[in-house]
Amino acid sequence: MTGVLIVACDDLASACGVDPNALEAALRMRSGAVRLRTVAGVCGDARALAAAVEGEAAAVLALCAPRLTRGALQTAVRRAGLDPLGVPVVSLRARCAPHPPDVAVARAETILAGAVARARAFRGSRPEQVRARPTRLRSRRSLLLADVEYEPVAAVARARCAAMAGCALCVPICPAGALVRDDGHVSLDRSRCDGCGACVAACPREAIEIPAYRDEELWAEIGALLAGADGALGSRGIAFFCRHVELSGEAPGWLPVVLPSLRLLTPVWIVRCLDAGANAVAVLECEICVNESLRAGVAWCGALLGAIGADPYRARLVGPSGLAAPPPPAGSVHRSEPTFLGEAAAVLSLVDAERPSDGAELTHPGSPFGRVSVGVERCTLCGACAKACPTGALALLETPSERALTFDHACCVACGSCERTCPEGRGVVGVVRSTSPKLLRAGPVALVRDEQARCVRCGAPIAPGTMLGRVAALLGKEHAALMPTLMRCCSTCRVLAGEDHPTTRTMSPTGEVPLVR
Amino acid sequence: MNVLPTADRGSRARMLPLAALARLRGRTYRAIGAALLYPDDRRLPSLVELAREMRRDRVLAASFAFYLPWWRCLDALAKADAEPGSLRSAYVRTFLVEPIGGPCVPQESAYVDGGKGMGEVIGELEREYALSGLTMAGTGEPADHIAVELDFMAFLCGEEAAAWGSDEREAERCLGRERAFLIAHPARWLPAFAERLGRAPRAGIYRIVGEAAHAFVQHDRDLLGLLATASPGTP
Repeated sequence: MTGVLIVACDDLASACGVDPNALEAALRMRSGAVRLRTVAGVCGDARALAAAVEGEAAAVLALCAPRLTRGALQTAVRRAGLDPLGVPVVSLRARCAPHPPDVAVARAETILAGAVARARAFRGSRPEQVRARPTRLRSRRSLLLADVEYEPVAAVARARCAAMAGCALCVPICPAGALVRDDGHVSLDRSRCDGCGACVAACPREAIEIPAYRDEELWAEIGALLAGADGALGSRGIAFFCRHVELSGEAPGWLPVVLPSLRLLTPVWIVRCLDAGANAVAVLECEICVNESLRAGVAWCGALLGAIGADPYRARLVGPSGLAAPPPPAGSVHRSEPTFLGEAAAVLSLVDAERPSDGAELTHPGSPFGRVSVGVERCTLCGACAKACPTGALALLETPSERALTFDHACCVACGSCERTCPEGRGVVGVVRSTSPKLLRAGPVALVRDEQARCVRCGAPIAPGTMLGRVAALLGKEHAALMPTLMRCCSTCRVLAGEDHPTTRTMSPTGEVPLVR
Repeated sequence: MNVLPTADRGSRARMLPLAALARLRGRTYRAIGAALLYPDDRRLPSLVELAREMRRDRVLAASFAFYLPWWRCLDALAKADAEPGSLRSAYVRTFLVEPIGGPCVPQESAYVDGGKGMGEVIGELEREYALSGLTMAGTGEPADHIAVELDFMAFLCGEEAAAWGSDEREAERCLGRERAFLIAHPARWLPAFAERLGRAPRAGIYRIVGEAAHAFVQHDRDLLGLLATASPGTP
């Protein structure tokens, strides 16, 4: 386990109401190899800060009230040999001072445990994932540039991106228009990206990431916040908020998790928190971040809780004063050891804890899952929808005797690519946003299946009967003479059988078998 | 201009002098370029000396996001004279004759437009250098070699540093030229080159240099964009 140094101001006790010795002992019990170092005036002294963290493998800054600019803070950390994005900064005074001493220590311990876990989970950043924030020249006359502040931005991993297969779900989602699909790839204009993470949430293949806000980094923090007993904090809840708002006046049990933007938050994150032991999850409203998609997602969480007999109010959007009241006490919601679960597994874990046998389907515009239906009579099993599906929720399975289109609800994100791609026109493939525990549990199920017609010459599969029927209908009476060969021979044997066909004969004046298909 | 380390005295915002910044950027370009030339008996000692000297003054560099990979690179370069033989082997293996997957050619022409317009790129670069009154020194490297392109960037940074003290408009023009050249040339192909270098077997120190070069060019491009758009604040 990586040792983590927590650097705090030496006025931790007076400014934040937290006894450093008690805090360090509690943190060691909870987070293992952790050291707490108090340094005089570290909140406003870059040199002292750099000296304090020099040579450390990981660090957390627990400042009573940061008096350095963010750029200066980053410089100090960088100078000590650490990536600033991997060093969480906790404003302890704001989080702890308003509470009684025992609660202040418990909050400091819990919040710092989260920050320590996050610092340990940090995987580093690449040059293209960091960008300088716009700044101003302080004074042209003295030719000075103010400290440069860097912020993380998204980066697309081409190896995981499904743009080559036609996926472009992230492109219209980006509020800054920073993503473009060009030449089969999605690329990001870093100068336009504001690092909100909407694309990260939209990507079904986890091909886009923002350093310090990757799934494992966020989960490390949330898991640590929710680990252990409630103790002095009382009932615990997770409060997601973004960099645009200041958190204040929260009840002791609300444990803050800061995101670059709420657009990074998917409804499944709320479910994960509830399943891992949060008694409630609040999303602090922000004029910049909150959009219809987020509102619908939070509403879906409430609807899901309602559907399984839990209090829907445990997942909600709140205004600035919404965190003054403590989270509702532990009740019907399942508590488990904080374990990171995939999207479907998290939902099933929550559902199973309440109503294991419940298979009722919840159709809701905010559902993160989609359900695909296919008109069996018109589907020819061509597989175009499966090819277009960016998540592999639809797949075409082929055996010598049968072809089947399967659907995995757990993988479907309701993107609608299948619906748009179907060559048979509207109404054959349909998608609705819905969550069905029964289907999530079932795994891939066959939506359509059909027997393969076999070649009379070699026995190889030709195509499903429905597809041959559709081709026959398209050819009509005009080309009826083609039908016997088409229906009875595979593509190879059809060439050999070409001499039987009058049209092919005229195309081959030499009498040889032409290479036609 | 002696206002640099105010943050270390605990002020809220630190001010970075643009002339010193231009000099630092110029030296960094020159050092990276020099590190990607064949380390012969003449070049290696001066490269090591340059790396050691740059390590002594890290205050300004630490203000920028390229610092960590750059610091690792300086660390490695400062010790590069310990085993000159293995360094030269690594150079030859990596840039000249590596049989698996081909060598990591340190020339723009190999990366831009699928290597189709080789003559065009070199011609374009020679014209660009000539506009600044420069000609190729005849050391054997082509105009699109990474060391030559980065040396040209270092030259432009030097012009900028000199201009900040006397002619602010000229300095801004220099910034514009640096940005245009960086975007048109090194920034266009260096990420692909660094990525290839990262995958090269037994590249040794050159992998670290490649990472530093990638980080520096990426962040310098951002910084130049930022300087180009920054508006004067209230003094």
